[in-house]
Order: sequence, then structure tokens, then C-alpha cells
Amino acid sequence: MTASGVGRATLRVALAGSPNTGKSTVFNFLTGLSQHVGNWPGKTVERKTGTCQRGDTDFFFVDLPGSYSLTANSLEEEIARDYIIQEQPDVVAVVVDASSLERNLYLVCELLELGVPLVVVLNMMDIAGGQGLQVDAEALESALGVPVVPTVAARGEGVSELLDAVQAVAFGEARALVSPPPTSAAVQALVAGLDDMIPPDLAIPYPRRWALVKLLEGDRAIVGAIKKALSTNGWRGVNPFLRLHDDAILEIAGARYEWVAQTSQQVAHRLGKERVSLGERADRILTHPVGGVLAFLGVVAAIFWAMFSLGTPLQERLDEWLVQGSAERLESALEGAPDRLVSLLADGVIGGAGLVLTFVPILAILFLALALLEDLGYMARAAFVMDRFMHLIGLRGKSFLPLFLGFGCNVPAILGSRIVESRSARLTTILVAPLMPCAARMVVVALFTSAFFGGAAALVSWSMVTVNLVVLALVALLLSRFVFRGEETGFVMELPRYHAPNWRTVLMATWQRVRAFVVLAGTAILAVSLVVWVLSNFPGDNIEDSILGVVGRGLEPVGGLVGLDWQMIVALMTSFVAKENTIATLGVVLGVGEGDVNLSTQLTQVMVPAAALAFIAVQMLFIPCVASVAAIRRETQSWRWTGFAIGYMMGISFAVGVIIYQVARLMGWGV
Amino acid sequence: MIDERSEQYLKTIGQMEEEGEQATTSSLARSLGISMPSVTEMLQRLSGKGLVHHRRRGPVSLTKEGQRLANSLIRRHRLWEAFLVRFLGFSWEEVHEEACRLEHATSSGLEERLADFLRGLDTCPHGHAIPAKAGLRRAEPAVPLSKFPAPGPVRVARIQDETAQFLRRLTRLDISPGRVLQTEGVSSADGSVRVRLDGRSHQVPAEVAEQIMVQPAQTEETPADRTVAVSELRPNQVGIITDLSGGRSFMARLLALGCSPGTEVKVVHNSGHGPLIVSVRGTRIALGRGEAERLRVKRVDI
Repeated sequence: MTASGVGRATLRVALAGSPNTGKSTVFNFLTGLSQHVGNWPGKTVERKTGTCQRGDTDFFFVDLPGSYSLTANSLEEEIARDYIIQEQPDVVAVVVDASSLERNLYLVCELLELGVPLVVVLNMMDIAGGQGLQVDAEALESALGVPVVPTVAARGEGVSELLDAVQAVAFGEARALVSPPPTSAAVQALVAGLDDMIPPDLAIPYPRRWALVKLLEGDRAIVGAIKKALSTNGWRGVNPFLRLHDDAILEIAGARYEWVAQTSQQVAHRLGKERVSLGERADRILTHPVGGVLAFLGVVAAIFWAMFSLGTPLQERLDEWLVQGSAERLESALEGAPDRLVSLLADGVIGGAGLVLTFVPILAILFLALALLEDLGYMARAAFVMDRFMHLIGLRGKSFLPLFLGFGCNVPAILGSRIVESRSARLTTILVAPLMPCAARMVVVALFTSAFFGGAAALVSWSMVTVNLVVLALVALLLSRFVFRGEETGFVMELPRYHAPNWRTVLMATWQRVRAFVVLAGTAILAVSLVVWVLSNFPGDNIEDSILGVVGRGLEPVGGLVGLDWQMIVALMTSFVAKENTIATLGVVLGVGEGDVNLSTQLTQVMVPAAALAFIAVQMLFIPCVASVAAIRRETQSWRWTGFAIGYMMGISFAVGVIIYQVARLMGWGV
Repeated sequence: MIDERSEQYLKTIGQMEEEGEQATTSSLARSLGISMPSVTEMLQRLSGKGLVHHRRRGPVSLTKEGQRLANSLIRRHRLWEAFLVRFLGFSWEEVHEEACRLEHATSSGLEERLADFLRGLDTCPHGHAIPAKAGLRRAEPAVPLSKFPAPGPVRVARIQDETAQFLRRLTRLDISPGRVLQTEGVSSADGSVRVRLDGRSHQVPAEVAEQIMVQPAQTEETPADRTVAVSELRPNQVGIITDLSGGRSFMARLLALGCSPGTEVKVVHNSGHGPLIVSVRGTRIALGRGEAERLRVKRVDI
């Protein structure tokens, strides 16, 4: 407990709990807009913190990642338990779903064993009531020996009492009659055995006895820590003992569940028969192998529709008023100023920044839809239904949604990969997401195919899209087979109960994501826009003599293999900022206005069909736009993976481009 | 001390006594593959050393000292077999020879530590009980498969012939200690035994059946008693979890979600391929098919 200033205390409270217990709702209610979302240091797991004040006390809340137990089965669980043990918050408030008491009490049991200052938040009391389940909070409090606060976080009920309880525990006013659950004699004997084998002054950042039990349970992180702290000889003595008793975990977990069952029986009573809920009936269709897939595709289609029919007009409107309007106003304001400066500000700055902002409506709708589905509980069903297919290319069911969104724009696809829990699947999803043919790329493809292939334009476009998808599947397969070998922890996923979405949670989540995008993409795109502007406007007056042009011409020998001359290469390079830039750049380079007709004619005069085909392929597979790169960097927290993504895409796009160009030439399209 | 060959004799006699057989010169000769005169000579020498009681053409039995030595050898042999299979990844075919060599080179100190280490394991991979320090005890009564009054269900208790060649035959037939077979009849022509295993019939040659010790199986295994993988249950069928296998992190995940042994599992959705949905402790869980195959339950008919 830190006293900050006279008479004011700041209490650090960690919010723990299984997923789907309404923990975020509780957190949102407590912290409101003071929330700060970032990442746990060096990890791609979201970290949410927030504050609130009551009277003389300041509360600092940390929303720990959802965990089913204190064993490090996943990165999220490891982070949660390490925070509790090593950061030692003043109070741990564990959120429990009153309607699923038996499962949720397992974590409570573990926390009681750990002996931290605890408050139990008995949430979703309304849902329990609706199911005919009566949970006696006072009886639970007697049984556990820690304060139990019944809440309906969705309505904000019980939040104030929660703060009271937290204060009481932190200041030592609460009853300290904690009764940790008993361990069986057999387990105690095993722990004693281990205790003898391990030197008493072992340097590990965990409480000793607790760590020994976790060692018996086979907790990856603790096994690693103890192995490192012991000498090789010491470990050689301990390891066979552990292997001999490798089913100790069943005994340990079994004992906890017995305690859980006894406690539940004491405090929860079912009134009336359990009814088949609406959710269960919905699940019959939504998890059906055929019906579920259709439903899922329907949902995705609906999201797309909303994004592009509602979002696009907004986007265009924004483009007109904000971007072009500002540019015009700027130009008139700077009348008489040097052309270069005006161009810098209008094209470079406003053009770049404006591009980002126009994306916001589309993305906001998308994020809203995702948050809504997740809160509703549907996302788990979608993952379940799509898992069978995704498994074939080495991904998991949850990867499907972010990837599908890549059809609209790669950036939300990458940012959306967070919902994939398995680290290897998440990384794979992030790395292949840029291969999804986004709308911006399709615009370029449309232009080229209609210019060069007339009636067959649609067919060619469709083929190029297929090429992308095939490459995507192959890359995903290769990554999961060779790079992430053996990192699969298997598909075990809870299907949470459906419940009415909480608008506060949904809107908060949407806002956080939009903000993240604007900051991220904004800085990246702005920076690179300026750089490209400089490179294309200096030193000469026309693009041919600019730095970009010179580089383009220098790369011509390489480009020749793919049938591209320096103008195409320059266009490719500017596409790094945003894929749509290709068209604008081509216009500038070829000396025509942006009117499609002129551009198309010019293109056909400057390129052969084979080269056009190759250009499309390269464009589609080429390194992702800067916003995507920034997103990759943020989601992987690693320059290495970002570099890998850029590198492999550059390699593939070049290789495929060469193949297509040479084959097309052989087929007689080189004329 | 005494030489290896003598140890071999003592061990063989000890094993026979364990089975409740009376060792005779001829049965020893047959068992060890040595001529009767040589056996007689050896027995006389052992008798001289006070290790066996032997009368010409009469039964052979171990003296107290002989028993002690035999027990110690057998114990070492089986401890090593258990250790090699359990911890060093040997198969049950490979260990007999190794153990035969090791048993002669094992001091009592080593024997004790091995026994301590293997606390909890009490049979060798071939089904024989590992004797306590105190002494050999009569093995649980069992008859050779060739002598079992078929038809009827039997459980394989132990295997007498531990040579690699023999065990390989058994591995091919999928017969090992603990397996339950249905015997269907003995052929009068060649004494081979017809058995049914996992739904398939096999003809077990007489000389093989002689070496397989079986006990009558308690009751015929009913579908309800057998354990199945959760992936084999149909929707709305219920099972009680008997065990989880497949790596600690997998087990830990399942346990944290409520799937501990003794818990009721109800299958909500199983389309025969792809992931399943089960209900455990009031929560719905989606399991990949591979994961569901590693979760075994005992079916419960409601």
C-alpha cells in the first residue's frame, strides 16, 4: 500500500478470473474512460489498467488476462499468475460467474492456497437467478473465509460494495479466517519428498511450498525455473521422481475439485428444473457442421455489407470534406508560397494523414461488429465451426474471421488476430494476413485487367485472387509445419453461455481498437508519405529525375525479369504507402491525368500483356503497405518477424512474378 | 560367492516354487535345456553347498539359504526389467536378456536403491510380481492358456517365456499382461487354442499357449464397463472420466476446465469427424478430435 500525499492511499487491485465471467464488465464499470490499454512488456497480450477514486482512496486496477487456473498453460495464465505473485498487489479481486460456480471455484481454490489477500466478486447473479439457481453469498463467505460481494456488473450493481470490501481487506479490517482447502495425505507425502530433495535456499521467485506443488503438477514455467536454479546433479535427482509421479496432477486437481463440489453444494441450490436455454437451441444450428458454416458465412457477409455500404459512403464523405477540403483550404491560404511547400503540406501531409482518417468509418464498423459478436458469445461458435477447415492449413478456427476481413483491408486482419489464443497460430495468422487480396489491391487489379484483357478481365482477376489464396494456404502450412513445429497445445476451448451484449463493454472495446489503429497507422503512414514525397520530388522537377526515379531505373535490370520498366517499379515502390497509390503514381509517371480511360490506353501502349499479368501478381503479393507493416510490428512486438514478413513476401512476389511473366511470354502474350 | 550357472539354477527352481510347481530333475532339465546327468551333477554340488535339498530322482527344493539367494536374484531381475521398460524406453522383448546380465552384477545396495526408486511398481513387464526383500511369495494362482477349460473369458496374468523371440510373437498377437481374451475352444488335433481378441479370432499354437498364464476374468466385459474415448460417444451419451493421457499441458488444460477423473461428461455434439462439444460441470467445452480421443470415460447408461 502506498500513501501518495497526506491522507490519500492508493490501492493496487488485480482483477483476476476465468474468461467469460464478466471481468471486463466489472473493470469497465470501475474504471470507465480512465482505462489505458497497452501490452504486457515484451508480450502480445493486452494489458488494461485504470483508476477510480472514492473518498480518500485511489484505486489502481489491473485487469489480468483471463485464466482458468494458476498453472501456466498459456501465456495469458502465466502473465496473470506472475503478476499476482511477483508484483504483489494489495488485493486480488477474483470474478466468479455465479451460474457456473463449480467451474469457477477452481481458480478461487488455487488463490486460497496461495494465500493472497482476496475478495470474491460473485458476478452474474441475475443470470444465475434466471436459470433457477440460488447462490447464497453469505454462505460462500463463511465457507471461504474471505469477503464475497454479489454483483450484476452489467447493471453496475454491487460495484460500490466491491470497493468497500477491497478497502476492508487492504486495510486489514476484513475477517482473516481464510480456510485454505486441504491437500490429501498422499500429495503431502510427495511434497515432503520433494522438499527433502531440493535445497532449502533455492532461488526462485515463487513461494516455496506452492512452487513444489506446481512442480508436481508439471507447470512448465516452474519446472523451468527450478531446473535452472538447481545444479545439474540436483535436477537429475528430482526429475525421475517427477516422472514416476507424473499423475500426481490428477490427485492434486481431484482434491481441489472435491473441495469445489462440497463448497458448491453448500452454497448453491437449484430451484426448479433446468430448462433448455435458448442458447442451447441456437447452438444446435450454429455448431452444426453445415448449418454452422452457413450461419457463419452469413454473419461475415453481413459484416462486409455493413462495412462497405455504410462505411464507404462515410469514407467518401470524409475524403471530400476533410482531405480534399483541407487541401484546398490550405492551398488558398498559402497562396504565393513556394510550390514545393504547398505540395509538401497538401500532398504529403494532408494526403497521407487524410488517407488514414478515411479508413476510420469502415474500421469502426468492423471493430464494433467483432466486439459485439465476442460479447454475445458467438465468436467461440464461429471458431468451432471453422476449425475443421482451418486445421487443414495449419491454423485454428478463430483465424478465419480476421483473415476474412483481410478482403477489406489487411490492417484490421492483422490487428484482429489477437482473438487467436494459440501463440503459434496467432503468429501464423499475422504473417499470412497480408496475403489476403485487400480492396485497395483489387482496385489496381481491376484497372489493369480491364485495360489488357477486355472481356476476360473478370476471369483474370479471379485467377489472381486464387493465386494469392493458394500462396496463403501454402505459406500457412509451411510455417506451421516447419517453423512452429510442436507448439500446438491442442484445441480445447470453452463455449461461453450466450448473453445480451453489454453496450458499455462493446463500445469501450471498439473505441480502444479504433484509437489504436489511428495512432499506429497514422504515424506510420504519415511518416512514410513524407518520405516518399521527398524521394519523388527531389532533386529534379519531374519524377524521372527524382531519387525514386533514379532508384527505379537502377532496378530496371531486375525488373526486366518480370517485364517491368522503371515506371512500373516506381509505382510499386510508392504502393508501399498505400496500394491505391499505384494508380496515382502511374498517372504521374506516364504523364496522364487520373482519368481511367487515358491511363488505360497509356498502359497498353507502355506494357505487354505478359508484363501486365506479372505486375498484377507482384502487386498482389508484394510487401504489405506501411500500415500493415506497422500493424505486424505492433502485434508481433518483434522487428525480426516484421522483417521476415517483408522479406518473404518480397521473395514470393518476385518469384511468382518471374514465373508468370516468363510463362506468359512463352504462351505468346509477350507481344 | 557362487558362479553364474549356479545362480541360474537357483533362480529357475525359485520361479517354479513361485508357481507352486514341484521342481524335479527332469523338469529342470527341460526348462534349462540341459541334459539330465548335468542337472544331477549341478544339483549335487548345490546340495553340498547347502542351497538345495535334493534326493536322487526325487523332488528338488531350496533351503532357506537357497531361497534367500534365489529371491534376491529374481528380485533384481524383475526390478531391472521394470526399470528398463519404464524409464529407459526398452520394450518388453528386449529387457529379459539385459536383466539376466544385470542381475548378476547387482549388489544388494544397488538393489535396495532400485527398489526404492521404483516404489509403486510391483510387477515386471511380463506380469510377474516383484518380490519383497523378505521373500518370494506364491504367485496368484493361474493356469497356462493351454490348460484353461474353454470356452470363457480369461485375463492374461503373466508370461513364462521371456525370450525376445517368444515375446515378439505375442506382440504380434497383441497379447500382454492384463489383456482380456475370450477363449473359444481347444483344437483336439494340435492342442492350439482359439481365442477372440478385439473382435478378431486367433489360433494360438499349443507351445505358445503353454507359456501364457491366465486367470478367469471376473465377469464378461459389458459395453458399459469398458472404457472408451469420448470421441466414440454419441450425442447425449454420458460417461464418467477414467483417465486422461497425452502430456502434462494437455491434462492441465482439461483439468482446469473441470475434466477430472470421476467427473461426468455429456456429449452435446459429435458429428464423427472434426471437433466435438461436451458438457462438463455445467460448462460447454469444444474439444478437437485428437484431444477427445485422449480423454477416456466409462459409459454410463442413464
